[in-house]
Amino acid sequence: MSASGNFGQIQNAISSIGRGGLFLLQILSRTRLSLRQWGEIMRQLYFVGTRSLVIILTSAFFVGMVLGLQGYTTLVQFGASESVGAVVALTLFRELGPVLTALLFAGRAGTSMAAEIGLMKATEQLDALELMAIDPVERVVLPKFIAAVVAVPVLTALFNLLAVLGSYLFAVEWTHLDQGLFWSRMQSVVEFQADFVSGIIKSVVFGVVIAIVSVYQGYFAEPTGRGVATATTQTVIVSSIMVLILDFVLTALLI
Amino acid sequence: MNSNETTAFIELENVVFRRGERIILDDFSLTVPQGAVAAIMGPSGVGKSTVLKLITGQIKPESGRVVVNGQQVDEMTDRQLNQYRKTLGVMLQNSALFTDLSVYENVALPVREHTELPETIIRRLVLTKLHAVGLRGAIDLYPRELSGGMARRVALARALVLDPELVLYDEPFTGLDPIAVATVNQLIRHVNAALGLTSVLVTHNVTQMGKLVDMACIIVAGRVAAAGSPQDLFDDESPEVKQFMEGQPDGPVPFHYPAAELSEDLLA
Ligand SMILES: Nc1ncnc2c1ncn2[C@@H]1O[C@H](COP(=O)(O)OP(=O)(O)O)[C@@H](O)[C@H]1O
Ligand SMILES: [Mg+2]
Repeated sequence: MSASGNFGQIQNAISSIGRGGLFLLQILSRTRLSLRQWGEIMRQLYFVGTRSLVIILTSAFFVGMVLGLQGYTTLVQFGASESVGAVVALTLFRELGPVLTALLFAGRAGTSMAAEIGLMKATEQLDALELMAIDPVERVVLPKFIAAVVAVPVLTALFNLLAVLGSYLFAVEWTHLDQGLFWSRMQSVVEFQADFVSGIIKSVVFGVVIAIVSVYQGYFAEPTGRGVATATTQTVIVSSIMVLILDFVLTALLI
Repeated sequence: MNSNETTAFIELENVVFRRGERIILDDFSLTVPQGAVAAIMGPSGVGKSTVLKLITGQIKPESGRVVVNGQQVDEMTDRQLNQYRKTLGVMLQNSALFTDLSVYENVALPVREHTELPETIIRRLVLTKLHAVGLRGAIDLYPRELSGGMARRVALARALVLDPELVLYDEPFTGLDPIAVATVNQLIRHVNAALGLTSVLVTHNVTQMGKLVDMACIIVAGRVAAAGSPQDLFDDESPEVKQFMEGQPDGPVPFHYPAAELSEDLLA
């Protein structure tokens, strides 16, 4: 691709970040602490939660086992196999928990949010709301946005929990490591604040990014079948890339 | 201001509207008196829905004015538009029911949103409107379970539920069986008389137009080709109006979207 083509792409990327930021402000300005809005937020939270819970917990369990397996094979050569729990927990809490949860959430719940909003646009449901003097951003977009922002850190914490359980089962049931040693090494190495909380902080940022990308793609989708399809694909691509870039930035800042 | 203007409810004055390069409405003017049922007719793609969108303030004219009930719609702020739209009932071309709400909740939504009425009153309002369109038995169905014609009737009930001052119907008869056409026709007439509101409908259905409306206009090529009572239109001698009213394929009204000559396109 030519230099000017690349330049055009960069320009495009920057201007969509700008538009996304403006849309974010617009959404936030629609926050009402009304009972109805909170009811709708809870309903959406239930949707995104139930949609992504199974896939996230299953993945977490196997990621935990694999980390246990890899960690054990390496550590046992140095006679340090009892540290496997600590190594797994550090990797999970700091990196894999937040990042994998975010990627899975974008693929499962982010795409549905984009598709739902895009479809409402294509079938004139958003127009119908506007014509009834009901703000579609306040009514449709904001509850989904808040639900995603809340769901991602909670799901990340659950991911961490289940992955630790997976590695525990592997280490203790399979390799017969002493379970007391497994937990006590983990406890002495992992710091709640520096490791667990910093991972959750990351996941909050990832949640905001995925939420804004998903609702933006849906709301500004071309109002056709193809437009909705493009919006869902773009949701996965853009949020994954942004999560991975931000992961590096945040790690550099938080360390 | 003369006495004619005071009774006008909707006035589009010399409106120009473009989509990209294409001019859709070119110096378009239309007046609908208070309390009238008016029809906008014309071939597909001529800009009938566009006229409705100008009236609702969804789009703004490039030049000209859109005045409804003495207020200039194209200069309203978002807040004013919101106030204005609370007095409108709109039935969109493809019904646009909310897919994750039941029929009952679809019709109840504007009431819940804009009033503080207790549930018993809301229920009475919703059931009355659904009864009028013959769908009181369908309250628990979801839009995906409705036929196209049923969906249009629910959309009609939803448009009327707050007793608006002005109702806009985009092709209300499309997809309806003959009985439902007659029902909807009567209903439009009835609510217009009973509530003293003004109604504008877009339709291709010349027969229903003749039975229903007080006045109609035919749009051809971005302008009003003819306007007046149904009888005026049936009697109109100009070839483009005759062609439309009598449904003839050949005549001055173009059937084709603007294009190069077929032979040029095929040889290109
Ligand atoms: N959102 C849009 N973007 C671009 N062109 C449009 C759009 N909506 C309508 N048009 C064009 O404007 C013309 C008038 O459309 P419309 O008012 O919907 O016609 P109709 O008389 O059938 O209701 C059509 O030819 C259509 O191609
Ligand atoms: Mg139309």
